[in-house]
Amino acid sequence: MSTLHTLSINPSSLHSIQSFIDIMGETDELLLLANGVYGALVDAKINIPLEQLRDSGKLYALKDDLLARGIPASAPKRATLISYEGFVDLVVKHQNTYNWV
Amino acid sequence: MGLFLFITQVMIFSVSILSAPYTDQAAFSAYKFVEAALSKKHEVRRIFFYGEGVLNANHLNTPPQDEINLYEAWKELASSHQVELIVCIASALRRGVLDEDEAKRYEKDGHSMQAPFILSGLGQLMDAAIESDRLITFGS
Repeated sequence: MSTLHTLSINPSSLHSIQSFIDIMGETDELLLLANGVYGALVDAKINIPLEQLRDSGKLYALKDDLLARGIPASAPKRATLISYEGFVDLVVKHQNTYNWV
Repeated sequence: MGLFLFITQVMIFSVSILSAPYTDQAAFSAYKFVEAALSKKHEVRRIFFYGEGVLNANHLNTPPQDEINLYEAWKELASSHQVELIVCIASALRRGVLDEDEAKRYEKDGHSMQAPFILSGLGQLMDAAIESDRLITFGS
């Protein structure tokens, strides 16, 4: 059983991004959407713990939501950019989805 | 090969929406998700509007003409893909989202909700969770 976690607030406003990552199961993945996509920007140093997820290929961000915030697709990211269709595929891949607002 | 089969598998989805249309992006994200799921030939059985989410069902919502009309977009999903649009009655009455029957019952001058949106109870959310392969929540 694996879970797709979705985060739609800027991760830098979380109390601790590390404790968030720590509760994720070994096969879980994280998708950043809406304001969550700011966590994908490498210049946001506060979100460096997210690189643990990137290194194991478990961090995704919605491309449309990045573009909607004026962030070019070419900006350096620490997440794999996906479409809403890719979002659907992730939901299919995991048995559960949990929305962290 | 295993992954490929996984991704092409057709599933039944249901979606619950907890945010009002202009509070944050959640309702719009939900719409884009449903659109993508349908384009990938999945079935979207039910959308359950709960809490502030019931404000999506107000037919008096009148956004400027050069903006996306989310109300019309939900309606279109119901007519073109038989997606059920269920609105939590307890949340809706509190927020002035009443269909004609409820407006009469409470002696109101007018109503703010109509078909294809349907007022019903939380049991329909439970039912969606049981009947669907995946239930995804948007908003808070």
